[in-house]
Amino acid sequence: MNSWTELLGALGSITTSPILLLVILLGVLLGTVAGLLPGVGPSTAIALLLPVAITMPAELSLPLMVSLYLGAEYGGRISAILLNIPGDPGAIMTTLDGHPMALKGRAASALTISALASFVGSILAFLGLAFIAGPMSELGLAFGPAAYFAVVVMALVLSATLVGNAPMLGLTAVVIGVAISTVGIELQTGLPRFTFGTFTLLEGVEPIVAIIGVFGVGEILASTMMGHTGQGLSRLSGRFFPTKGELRQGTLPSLRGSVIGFVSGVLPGAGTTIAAFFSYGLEKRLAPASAGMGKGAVRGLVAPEAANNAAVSGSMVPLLTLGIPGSGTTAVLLAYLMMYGLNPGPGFFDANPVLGWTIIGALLISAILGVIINIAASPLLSKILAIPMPYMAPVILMLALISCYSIHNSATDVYIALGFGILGYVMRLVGMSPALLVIGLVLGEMLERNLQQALGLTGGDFGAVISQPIVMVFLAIAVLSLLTALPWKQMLGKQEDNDQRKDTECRSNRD
Amino acid sequence: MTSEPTLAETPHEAGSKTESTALSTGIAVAVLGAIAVFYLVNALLLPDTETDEGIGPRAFPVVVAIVLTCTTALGVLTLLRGRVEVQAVSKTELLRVAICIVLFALFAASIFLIGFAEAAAIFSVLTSTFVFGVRLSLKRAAWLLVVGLVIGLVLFLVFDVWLNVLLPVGWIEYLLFGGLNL
Repeated sequence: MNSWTELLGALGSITTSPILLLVILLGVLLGTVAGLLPGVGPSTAIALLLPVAITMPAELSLPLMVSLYLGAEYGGRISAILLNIPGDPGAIMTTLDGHPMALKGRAASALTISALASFVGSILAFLGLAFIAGPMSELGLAFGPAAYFAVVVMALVLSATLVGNAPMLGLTAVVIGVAISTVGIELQTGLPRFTFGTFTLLEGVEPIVAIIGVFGVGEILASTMMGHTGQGLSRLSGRFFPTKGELRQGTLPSLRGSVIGFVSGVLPGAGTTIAAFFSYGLEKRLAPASAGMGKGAVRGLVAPEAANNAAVSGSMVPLLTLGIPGSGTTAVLLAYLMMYGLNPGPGFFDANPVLGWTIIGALLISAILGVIINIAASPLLSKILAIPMPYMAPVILMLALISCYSIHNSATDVYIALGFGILGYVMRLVGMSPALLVIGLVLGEMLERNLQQALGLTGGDFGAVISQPIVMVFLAIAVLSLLTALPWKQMLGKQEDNDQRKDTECRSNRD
Repeated sequence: MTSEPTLAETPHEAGSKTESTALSTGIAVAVLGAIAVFYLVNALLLPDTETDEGIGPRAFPVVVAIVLTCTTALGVLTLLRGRVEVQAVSKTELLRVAICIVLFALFAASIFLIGFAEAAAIFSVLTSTFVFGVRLSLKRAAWLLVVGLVIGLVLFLVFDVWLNVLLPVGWIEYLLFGGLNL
């Protein structure tokens, strides 16, 4: 029960600190706006907040970031319902029943129901996170470098196979990230690698610069193909509060979606998109034909919304207890934690109990503030969608420039980010997830360090490293996930009708 | 903004879709292939200095390079066989992306010459016009320039003055904010 005591203490500190409450409120507001704007999303928004974050202590900036992440999951549903374009990738499945509801003149009700479902998902997942974080962190302490190496390999392979268009392209994205992590001075020998005689690259590629590049700049380059927001914005029509019948229809799907979302969030790489996809799929199977799934069914709206919010807290489990990002956005958060010199993973809660539990407590406060803001301010928030991309894009690029420039007060980082932006754009063209590159980049250093330490302990015998039982378990999971993800039927010449999966996965490249 | 932007380009026709997909695939194959080859060559050129405590600076990058080459080769094969949903792109769209890249690079360079807010104002007008195809009359262009300048000044105020992120100062920032952080 020590964890609960710590958590209650953190919640007490948050509720009695006006500054912290204000920061969380700001995070939820910014997150909701970032989430509702197609082409921004939580990863980009968090990366663009760098200049603000570096002026704040970690005790304020990290609650700001997690509240922004949760706020974005609330906000994503607004454009999904009103515009039929998911504001963030986790809201993809919300379009299927949310937009038809709006077309039937029930937009206001759809926004309220989905906000309530998001709240249910956030609260249940918060409880799951609070319950599991302490024991998981203790468990992680038992891992040696070899086990950690295997955990990172497993996380990289799972990420590559769960997200994106094709497992081989996913793996390529992850390995490009790992390759970029090798740039700079090698820690054991102090020799420079891939620096090409330049001073700038001696410290390696700053993950935040890469993140701003692939998410911020890359997203804007991709949005040039959208031209302008020509889609029709649905009017905020219908009754504001849902009926008792609608609430009854949504209760069980919300609970199921929350559980699926939390579990999906815990899986490395799965994130909010897969969570929403799984929960919608389950509801579709359980629903009778009369439920009208895909035509504005309440259960089809609430299940993915509960799931994507629950996945946020779920993805915090591997991040805080093992130092492994559960999604692209948590990879950005991991980069932030490392920027502050904090090492999430085993022992994180022992070393930083106040910060660790404040981050978790901030999720609860964000969930409460999120539902209030998203119900009370939905007419105002929907108006933001009317701002066309041609006027929004230059502002996002200005913020990207400031974020990169602020790291070393140098334009070099801006040009490096531009390079990553071009790479991010090319990856998007073929459905490769830029988030995978970021996951590879932030985990690459951890992978090499643990491998070196494990080899050091075994006298350089790689066979001895991988023959440890726990290592074999993690590596077996990695191999199995890879084998099951490969398109065997296609490779053997059989055509597989897998349209739904393909359709969802190809859109999940920003999570 | 009171009026919606208009695009100079018409939507794609079905006939050009295949060609556009081939273009996307070609670009991705070229970029991914170049990265894999570049990394492999440079990893092999790293000095092989094994230490008592570890594997040295070369072994890990070489393994990564081999894995990268293999996954890239298989990924490229998947792309060339058309088994991946590729986003169609036209030459006009690529031109817009290229213009956006050039404008952003020029924006980064010009902040040191004319100041952040002034560069931001020019950048916003040029991006809206040449990247997103917004047709602007002289009056609307001037209005957009003013809006861009105001946004630039607000960002300067927030980041430079309040958050101490030192941004390059132009004449307008100097006059308005009294030469702060010069």
